[in-house]
Amino acid sequence: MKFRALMTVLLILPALLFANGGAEEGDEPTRLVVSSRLYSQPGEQQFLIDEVFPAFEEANNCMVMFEIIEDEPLLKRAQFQKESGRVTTDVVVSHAGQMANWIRNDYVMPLPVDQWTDRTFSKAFTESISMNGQTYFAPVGGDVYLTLINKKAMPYMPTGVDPQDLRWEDYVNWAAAVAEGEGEGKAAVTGIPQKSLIYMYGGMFLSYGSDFPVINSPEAMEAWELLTKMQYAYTPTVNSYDNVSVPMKNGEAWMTVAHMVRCGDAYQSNPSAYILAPAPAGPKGIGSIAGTSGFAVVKGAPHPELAVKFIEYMTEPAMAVKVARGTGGFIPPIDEAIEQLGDSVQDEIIAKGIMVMKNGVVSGVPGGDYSSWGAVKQVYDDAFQELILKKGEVSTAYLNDAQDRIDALKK
Amino acid sequence: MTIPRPLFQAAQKTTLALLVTTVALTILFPLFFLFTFSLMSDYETYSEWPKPLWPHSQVRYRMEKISPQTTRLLIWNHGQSQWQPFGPEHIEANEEVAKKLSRFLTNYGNTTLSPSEILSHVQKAQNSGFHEFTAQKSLSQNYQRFFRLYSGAADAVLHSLSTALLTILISVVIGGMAGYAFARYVFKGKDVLKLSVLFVRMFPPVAIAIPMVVILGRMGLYDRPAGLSLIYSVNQIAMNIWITASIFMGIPESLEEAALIFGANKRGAFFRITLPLAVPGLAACAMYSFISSWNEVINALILTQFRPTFPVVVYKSLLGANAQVHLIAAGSIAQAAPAILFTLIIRRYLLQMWGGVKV
Repeated sequence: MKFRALMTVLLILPALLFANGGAEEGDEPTRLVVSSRLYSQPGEQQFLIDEVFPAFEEANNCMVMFEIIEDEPLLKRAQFQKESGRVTTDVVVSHAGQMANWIRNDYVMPLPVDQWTDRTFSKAFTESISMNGQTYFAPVGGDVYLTLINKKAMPYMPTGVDPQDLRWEDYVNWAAAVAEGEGEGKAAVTGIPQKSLIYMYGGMFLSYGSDFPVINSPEAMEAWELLTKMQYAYTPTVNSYDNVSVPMKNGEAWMTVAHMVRCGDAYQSNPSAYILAPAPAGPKGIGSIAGTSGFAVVKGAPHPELAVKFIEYMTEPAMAVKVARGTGGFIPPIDEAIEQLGDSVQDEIIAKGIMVMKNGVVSGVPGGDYSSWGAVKQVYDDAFQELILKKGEVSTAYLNDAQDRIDALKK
Repeated sequence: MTIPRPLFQAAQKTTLALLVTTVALTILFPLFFLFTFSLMSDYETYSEWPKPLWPHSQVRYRMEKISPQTTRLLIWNHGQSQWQPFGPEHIEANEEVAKKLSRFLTNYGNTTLSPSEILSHVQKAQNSGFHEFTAQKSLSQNYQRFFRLYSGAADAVLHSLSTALLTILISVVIGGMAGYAFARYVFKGKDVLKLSVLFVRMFPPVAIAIPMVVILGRMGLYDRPAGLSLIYSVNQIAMNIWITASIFMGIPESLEEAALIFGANKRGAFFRITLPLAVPGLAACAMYSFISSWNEVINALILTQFRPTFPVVVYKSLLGANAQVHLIAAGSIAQAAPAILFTLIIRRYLLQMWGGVKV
C-alpha cells in the first residue's frame, strides 16, 4: 500500500511541477519567434544557433526562437493565429511558391527595403517577393538545379561527353544506355505528384528557349520529344520518390537533375562516389528554375520592430555570405553577397549553383500568378505519367489540353 | 471422415503458435528494425546491402597513396565484402583537410578520429603505399546527435511526461468516478448518456483546432502541458468511463454491502473493497491514457509552440533530417522507450485484469 502511495505521489508531483511548462516569459529576454521552412537540416540549424544568432541576440537583448515548420502548416498556423487574434510568431520564412498566399491573405507586412541600400535582391526573385509595388519578403536561401551522377554510371557515359558540360541529349542518351546495360532504369525524378518534377522539366524547357511554366511551346515540344526517350530510363520505383536524395544515396538511382540541396544531401555523404555538375544545357544554354525562400514580418507580431531588425541583420551581404558558407547548399539571393563569394567558394555545391545562377537561363516560380500552384504542378506530373512513362511519345493534342488547364488556373 | 483427436489438437496448437508468432513479429520486427537503424552510421544505412542483423561496432578503413601529396580513404563494405571509396576524392596532408575529414567521419561513419590521428594514418599510407586501420564506432552517436541537434528535445521529454501524467490523473479520476456511477446507479437516460460520452471522440482534432487555441489562450494555457492534458483528457475520459464502468459492474455489489454490515461507511467500503479490486481496470485506463497522450502529434503541433511535446520534436525531425533515417530511428526509439517502460511497470495489474496473477 505504501509503495502504491509512493508511486502515486511520484507520478503526480512531476506532472504538477511541469504543468506550466517551465520558465515564464518574464524571466527571460524578449523572445523573437522565427518560424522557418528553410534550414531544416540539423547541421544547418546548429550553425545558425551557434554562429549567427548570438551576435544579434547580444546586440538586441533578445533570444531568437528558431523553429522548423513546413510551408502548409506554417500558413495554416498563421490563419489560426490571425483568426484567434493571438499572433505569437514574429518572423516567417516561406517558400517563394507560397509567398503570394501570405501577401494576399494579409498575413505579412511590407518591409522597409528602401532603407537597405547596401543590398540588391537578385532579379530572378523580384516577382515572388513583392506585390503592388511593395516588398514583403527578403529573399534567403536561393537554389537552382544541378546534376548528380553516381560513378557507377560512368561505364555507360557516351563517348566525348564531359560530365561537367553536359547537354540534355547526352544526359538522356546516358540514362537510356544505363537502363539498357543494367536491365532497369537508374534515373530519378520526384514521381510523387506536386513535388518538384515541374522545376526539373521547366528548367529543361527554359534551356530550349521556352517560358516557364509553358508546357506546349515549340521549344518545349522539342524537349518533350527528347524526354520520351527516357521511357525506360527511370527507376521502376520512380513514382514513390518525394525527393531524390534517398534513392541517390542508397544506389537505387544513379542519375538525376534535381534541386541543389537534394543533390547536396547525397553528394556530401560520400563525395568520392558521385559527380556533381551544373544542370544540363540545351540550345539556349543551361536552364534552371531558381527557387528561394524569404523572411517576412507577420502582421500583428508581438515584436515587429525587432523582427525587421532581424531580417535586416540576416540579409546583410556579409551575413548572407557567412550563412551560405556555414549552411552549405544554398545560394545567397543577394547580388552583393554572390559577388563577395566570387571564386573563393570552397563548397562545391554552392560553387556549381552560383555558376548556374550567373550563366544560366533562370526563372523564378510564378506561384502568385495562379490560383493553385499545386494544380499547375499536377499538370506536369500528369504529362510525365502519360507521355513519358505510359506512352513514350509526344501528343500535341495532350500538351495543348495541358496548357489549357494551366491557363485556366491563371488569375 | 473424422479427424483423429491428437491430429486436431496438434493442428489447433500449430495454428495458435503461428498466430501468436505472427502477432509478436508484427510488433517486434518494426521495433527491432528501428532499433538496429538507430545504431547504424549514415554509410551503413544507405550504402551497405544486405543490412547486418546487428550493426558492427567497429569500422575498417584503408588509406591508399595516390600521389606523393595525396591519399584516398576507403571503407570496408560488409554487404559487398569489398573496399569502397569514402569521403573526399583526394586527401592532402594538412591540418585543415584533416579537420574536415574528421568531421566527415563523425557525421557519416559514426567514428571519432582526431585530425592528428588522421594525419598519422595519412603519413603511414604515404610511407608504405597503403595503411589499414580499425576505428571504434559509437553506437550511441545517433541518440546523442538527435538530442544535441534538436536542442529542445530534452525539455520536450519533460513536457510530454508532464502532459501524459496529468492526462492520467484527470481522465482516470473523472472517468473512474463516472464509470462507478454508471455501474452502480440507475437513472433516466443512462444508456443514452453512456453512449453520448463517446461523441467527443468523433470530432477530428483539426476541425476544432481554432476554438481550442482561442479557449486555451483565454485560460492562459496555450502552449502549456496543462492545457494539452485538458484536451487529451476530454477524449480519454470517454474511454475510461467505458472501461471502468464494465470493471465496476464486474465487482459484486454484495462485497460493499458486506463491508457496510461489518461497520464500514460508504466511503470506506469503496476505498477498501471496491477500489483495490478495480485497480487492474484503472491500470489499463492509465496505460491507455499514457500511450495516447505520449504519442499524440496533431493536437500538440497546433497547441504548442515553444513547449512542444517529444512526438512533435520527432515529427519535426522527420521533416528536417532528410535522408537521415538513422537519426529519425534514434528519435523514434527514444519516443517509444517510455511507453514500453510504463507498460512494463504496470504489466502486473494488466495481467490481473486478464486473470493471469492473483491480487
